[in-house]
Amino acid sequence: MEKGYLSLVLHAHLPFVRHPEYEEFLEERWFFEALTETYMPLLSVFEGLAKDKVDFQLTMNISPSLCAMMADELLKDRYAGYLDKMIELCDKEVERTRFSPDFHKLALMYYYRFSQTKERFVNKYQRNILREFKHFQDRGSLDIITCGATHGFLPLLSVNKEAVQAQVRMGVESYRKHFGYNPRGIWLPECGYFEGLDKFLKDEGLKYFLTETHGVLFGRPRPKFGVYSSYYTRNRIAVFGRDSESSKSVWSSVEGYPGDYNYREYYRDIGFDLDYDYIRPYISATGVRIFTGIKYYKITGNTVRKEPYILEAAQAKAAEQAGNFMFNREKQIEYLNGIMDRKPVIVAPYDAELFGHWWFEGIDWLNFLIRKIRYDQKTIKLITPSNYLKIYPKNQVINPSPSSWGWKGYYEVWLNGTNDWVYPHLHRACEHMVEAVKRFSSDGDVKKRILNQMARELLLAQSSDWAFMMKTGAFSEYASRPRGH
Amino acid sequence: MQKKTSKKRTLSRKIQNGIRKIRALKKKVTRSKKKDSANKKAPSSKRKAVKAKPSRSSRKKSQTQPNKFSPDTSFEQTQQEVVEVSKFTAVESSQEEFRRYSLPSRYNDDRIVLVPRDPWWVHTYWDISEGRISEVISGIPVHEREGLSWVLRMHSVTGVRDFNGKNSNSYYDVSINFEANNWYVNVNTPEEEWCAEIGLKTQKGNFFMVARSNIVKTPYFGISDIVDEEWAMPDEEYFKLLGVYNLGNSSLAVKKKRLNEILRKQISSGAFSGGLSSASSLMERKQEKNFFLEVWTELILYGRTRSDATVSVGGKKVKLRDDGTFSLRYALDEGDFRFDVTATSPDETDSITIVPAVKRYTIK
Repeated sequence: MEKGYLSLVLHAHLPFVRHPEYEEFLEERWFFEALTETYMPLLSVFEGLAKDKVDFQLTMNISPSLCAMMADELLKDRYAGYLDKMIELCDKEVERTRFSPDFHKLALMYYYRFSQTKERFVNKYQRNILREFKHFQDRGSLDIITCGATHGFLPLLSVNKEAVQAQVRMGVESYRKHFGYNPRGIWLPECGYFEGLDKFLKDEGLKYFLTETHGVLFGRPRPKFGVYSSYYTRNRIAVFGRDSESSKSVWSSVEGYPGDYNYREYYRDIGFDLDYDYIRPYISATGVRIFTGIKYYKITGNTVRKEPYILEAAQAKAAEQAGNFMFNREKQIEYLNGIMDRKPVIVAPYDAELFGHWWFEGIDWLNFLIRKIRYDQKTIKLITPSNYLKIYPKNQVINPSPSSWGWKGYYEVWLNGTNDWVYPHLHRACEHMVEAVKRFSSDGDVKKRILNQMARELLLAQSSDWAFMMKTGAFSEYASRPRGH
Repeated sequence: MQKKTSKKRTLSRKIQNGIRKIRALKKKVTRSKKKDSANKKAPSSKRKAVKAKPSRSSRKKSQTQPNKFSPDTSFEQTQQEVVEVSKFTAVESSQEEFRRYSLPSRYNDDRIVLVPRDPWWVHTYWDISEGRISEVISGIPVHEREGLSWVLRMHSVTGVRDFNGKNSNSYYDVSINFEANNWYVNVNTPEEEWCAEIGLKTQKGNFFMVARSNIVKTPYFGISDIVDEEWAMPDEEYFKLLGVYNLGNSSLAVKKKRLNEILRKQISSGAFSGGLSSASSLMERKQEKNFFLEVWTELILYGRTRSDATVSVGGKKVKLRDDGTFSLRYALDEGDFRFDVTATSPDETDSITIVPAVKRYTIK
């Protein structure tokens, strides 16, 4: 009999980027790369587990903007085109590296990966990725939860209650449209919580949400079991807090798993390494070098002299680290079980794109972890928050603390000198929107369509991603542009 | 061969530099714009009416400025740089678009808004019309109108019902630069409700409110001392739950204090938080900026034969162009390489083999 639970939560989200007015739009590649490196490989893992009859329970948030992109015909066409181009490049790479065995092996690996991806996307899935995820939800392995409509950072939008309401409501509606039933849980964008948000969640019929560690730990009154249990808010929405120990081992850039020297080096990419004329057709249309996703080196060490990547060594490492992670959770659960009068749950949320995209071997790590938990021990069991609530329907009531999972734990990442200029506009735009709806919504079709378009554009502008990019300076020019056309 | 590659790399670096230059210039404009308003001293209300205009025109200036950048950048124009400039024309056109749909610079709706940033800081922004300022000034006794200054009056209103400007628990004033339009205020108390008033203060110290904000509460910090009877647990037991923190063997009070210190440090250092929160942030990890040189070599093998012939290199068939030419490039590591190139006629009666070989090494 298990002594406690582990709840792995993957948060998959990309800002909505779709530009039919350009033949090729660089930022759309974020989506294509995430499909190839994270979303489709995750599906492969799930398929493998199902095929081998390995029970698993995972929670996954597919944000509404990501759902919209996955369901979009134009982006699907473009993705197929992107894959063709990548296969063409891989083909050239196989030839180019013919007399260079270390790299040749890797070139073949990429060729195989991209061809496989294309084959699965077009033939096996018939370009319908969402249906594949839904399939695992239907068979009880996956609890897919929703998110704010455009990933708006709710605490800073809460000056207008309509803005928060719209983000949550549209998040739920989008989910219903794509998956056919009501979502049980919601991933709060950036785990952003403010006092009173639970009421909005309740109004839309949601059952639970997740917060950063101190969202629960700093709750009032004191949460009896720390972050290792569920709680209810005053509005009877369940809340789970993130375990900091398990997240550190994966997230931390210093002590985290992804920094292992055997792993693939993210920054060495042929888009930057190879001769300009040769790589020119595969980088940005404007000729600026970018990442292609084809990377031949391992992290090697704290050095600029990188050595060729060795797949087998990296995979062995991933298996070893999965074992290490499991062992630490077992110890943690045994300890907690001794002091709690219920079975503890460790909630470990991660950005889905961490796996595969940033941490290339992360997908294998996850696969090993799930299998090891099933076969190599008896202390912990995987669980979804929904199922934990079925076991423990009675919970202490707390006021979670306002918080986020961003740097410094509160709202500063999305409110600082680089991005605070957006809020006066966002707050006013929302008021104008509410005003316009009151005045025109009963005025017939055309006005209704205009209102809908206004609402869509406003929601897009609210996405926390833009404020984030302004903060980091990455893609800040694109982020600062007015949204929607 | 080697030379060519390195030249290409310099070119591409030049392009990158060009982009950087242009970006830097753009940033400069926005920065100098900001500096402009920051340098202005908090003006008296009368002067303010005049000052408002330059700030608007400086905005205009910064909007037209970008046009200057693309053509007259200082680096010499080469083929690839022409390509590069064309990139910027693309960006310029979206700037054009930006201008067309640009956001209003002011709303003049006499408003101040307060938002919490963390348990210790709140942020406020305001947008006050000339009309409102004149209105307020007309209510100030004439002999007090000289030397007015702008302040934020921060009211602590925790537990106050129907706050009316007079019934706060306490308040304090913060001098501000009115033209900054926004301000970060260190209120330094978690879990406390605040209301901000922006107004004019006379030299005598009288305050005339111009606008009042919404009420916000700063986020909580620290583990609560309030314990739910039904879910009570002895403190000692509770701290075990936080077993990850090494709190030593001191008294409970000391432990608690130490725990809060640890938590504050952890939160502000981002140890709790992933820090990676969207895909774009994945690009963030710092790259090594040390001086370095990397050199690679490739070999181009090309030739021609009859267009209907079959050609193989090292036993592997290669594609011919319609005119019978072919061109292959291979990564060239250190060592000896031979390339067995064989052409075979369509009827397979004729066959020619040529074997170029190279030795690639680095002079130590």
